[in-house]
Amino acid sequence: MQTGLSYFCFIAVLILVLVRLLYSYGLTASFSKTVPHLDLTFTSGEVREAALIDRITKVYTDNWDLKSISAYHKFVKTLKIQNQPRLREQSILEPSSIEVIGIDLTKYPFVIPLELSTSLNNSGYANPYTVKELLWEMMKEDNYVVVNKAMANLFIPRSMNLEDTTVQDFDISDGITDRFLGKVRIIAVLDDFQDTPRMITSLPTAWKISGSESYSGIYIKMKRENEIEEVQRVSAGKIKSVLGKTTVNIENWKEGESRQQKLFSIFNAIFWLIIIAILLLSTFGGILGIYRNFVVKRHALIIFQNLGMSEFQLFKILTGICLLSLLSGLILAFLTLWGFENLFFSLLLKPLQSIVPVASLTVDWPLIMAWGAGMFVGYFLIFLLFLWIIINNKKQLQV
Amino acid sequence: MKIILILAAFISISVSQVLAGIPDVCQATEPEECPRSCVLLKSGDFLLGNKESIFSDEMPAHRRKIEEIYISQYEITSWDFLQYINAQETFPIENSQFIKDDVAETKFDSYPCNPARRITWYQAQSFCESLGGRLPTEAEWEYAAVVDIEHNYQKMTWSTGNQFPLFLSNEDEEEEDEWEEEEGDEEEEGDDEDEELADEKGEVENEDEGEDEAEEFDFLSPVLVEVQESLRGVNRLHGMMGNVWEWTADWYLPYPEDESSALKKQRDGYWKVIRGGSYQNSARPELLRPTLRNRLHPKKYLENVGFRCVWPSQGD
Repeated sequence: MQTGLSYFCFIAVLILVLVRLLYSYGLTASFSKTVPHLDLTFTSGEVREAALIDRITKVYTDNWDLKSISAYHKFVKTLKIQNQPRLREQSILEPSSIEVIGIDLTKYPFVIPLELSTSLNNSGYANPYTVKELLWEMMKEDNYVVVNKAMANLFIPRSMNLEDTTVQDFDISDGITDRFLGKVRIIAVLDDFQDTPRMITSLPTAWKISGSESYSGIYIKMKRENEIEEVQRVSAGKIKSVLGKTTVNIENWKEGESRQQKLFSIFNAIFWLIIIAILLLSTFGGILGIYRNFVVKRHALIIFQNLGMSEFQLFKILTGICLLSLLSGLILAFLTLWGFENLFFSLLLKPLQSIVPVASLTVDWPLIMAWGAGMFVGYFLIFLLFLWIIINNKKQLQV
Repeated sequence: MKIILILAAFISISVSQVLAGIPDVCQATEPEECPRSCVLLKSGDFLLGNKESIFSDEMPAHRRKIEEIYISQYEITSWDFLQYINAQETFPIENSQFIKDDVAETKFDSYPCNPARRITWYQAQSFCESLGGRLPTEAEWEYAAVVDIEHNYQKMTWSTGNQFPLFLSNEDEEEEDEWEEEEGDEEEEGDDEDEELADEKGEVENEDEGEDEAEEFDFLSPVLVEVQESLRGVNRLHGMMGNVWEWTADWYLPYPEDESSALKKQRDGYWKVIRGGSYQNSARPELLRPTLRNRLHPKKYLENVGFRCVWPSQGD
């Protein structure tokens, strides 16, 4: 009964861990790449001082290894969008509330990786831009924009394939005053999992549309994703001295508000509830099981003691056996991982890579070694505890 | 007399050995106006990547060793690819009919010597394999594009602000001029020898014609052109810059620090590397640098992506 229950718990935990890992890995891999990792928002109002932006940027670039950093200008505005009647009939979209984000597009990589967006067909040619072509166009042409899927749905019918759509030229006007704000060319669509229609463009174009030459915050993209939380925590203190009266709020990408993030939070909460319940049950069951075995076997130990073996000798022999079995298990596990690393990679990561653009990760050996050593010490301490109980519990041999 | 005979025998043996090393596919083809030839790239090492670039994936520049290979002098043509499709009992690719229709019936009659395009990486690779070759690795491709094999000269800096026509930034042109002045005499002698060897091997067309071509087509065409009319670069290779992007064998992964770490971890990625720019980039010379790494999913195909093959030298 106990064995059956242990098996059940073990398999249930494994399945849950696997589902969670796949879900979080897939989501993290795809989603963390489409958004900035850290969002430093000016809570005391928008900033116009470029020198302040430079000072904050310097704090980050001096202290951490960044992939990219850029001040941004973000706002929501009701815009009227009307296409330039170049190839087809003119159509005017109902004024819609659109979030516009202007970022620094003069330096690559961008804080929002526009290279992951789906390019529309290059005008004049029957094919989309390749990645570098798309990036270069965005770097060179101020009025080129990338929109998210929610916004693409406003002008591309759902039935139409994105790859069959040619780049779109639009005139943008204020949805309320009807004032002309500028021309933009939509060249790609980014799937950023947001429900709000969103347009990503260069800072000058965003300033032109909003009418205000200011910064709403700074986006940061880290080189190492495992540093995000640490940088979020530590940087708040480090930038205080350069901020003056300006106040900021630093958020990481997981604290965002997209559908996927909300779903993931709910799933995560349920996952941890179940995991903790199972782990508690199985830990109690496991410890009781081991203790029961020791209690049963203590008769054998008492026989050894009655045969004249000292407590210390018994302790040494049993500790030696335990150490050997734990060490051999540890070495076997390491050898398996080391020897079959490529096989595991092709079975676990490669299928994922065919779905989402995940780079091949290298095994973090120091971390694995640390975990291995930690588990080894943990098990060994539990063993010593039981051994201590058994040896000191001098029960008479029952005949 | 005896010495002359021995010398003649020696030369004829050497030439036949060289000829024996050339893959069959590098020889003449039909229709005759569609060229098909190879260039022998001698082994050597060079600096792969760029020391400075606006695109960080071109860095770090690191040394790579290249084995001796034959590389197609021209991009693979629609004609050649059509022969390949027709030779297959079942062409195991979803869009084979599309390619046949497009290449054979609609466009072939007019432009058989245009580079084969709308080809996935897998199609390109299987084409090369059917001829006993493979796609060039990224390093091989760049080696062929930047290292003048005969003179063992590599351009070291590639500015991101090249002036049109491409290939050399002003700075590079100066370097090149200096180098040409220094090497001028040797080059002339070298050219004569090369010409003789080329004639013997049947590797390249008449050198004079080649020079005419170089003059005539020494610009980047803003429209697709036949493979022999595309820009001629170092090593007499046509179309390395412009005309169509070219598939390479490698996954798009960050450059390793050095060659040893490159060999240590050869893992799969999501995209394959494409190189060389296309006619669609004629207004964007910054995209027409030999060190620029572009990428495309291996199952995708585009109007402006083609390929060329390499063959291991049989002397290996």
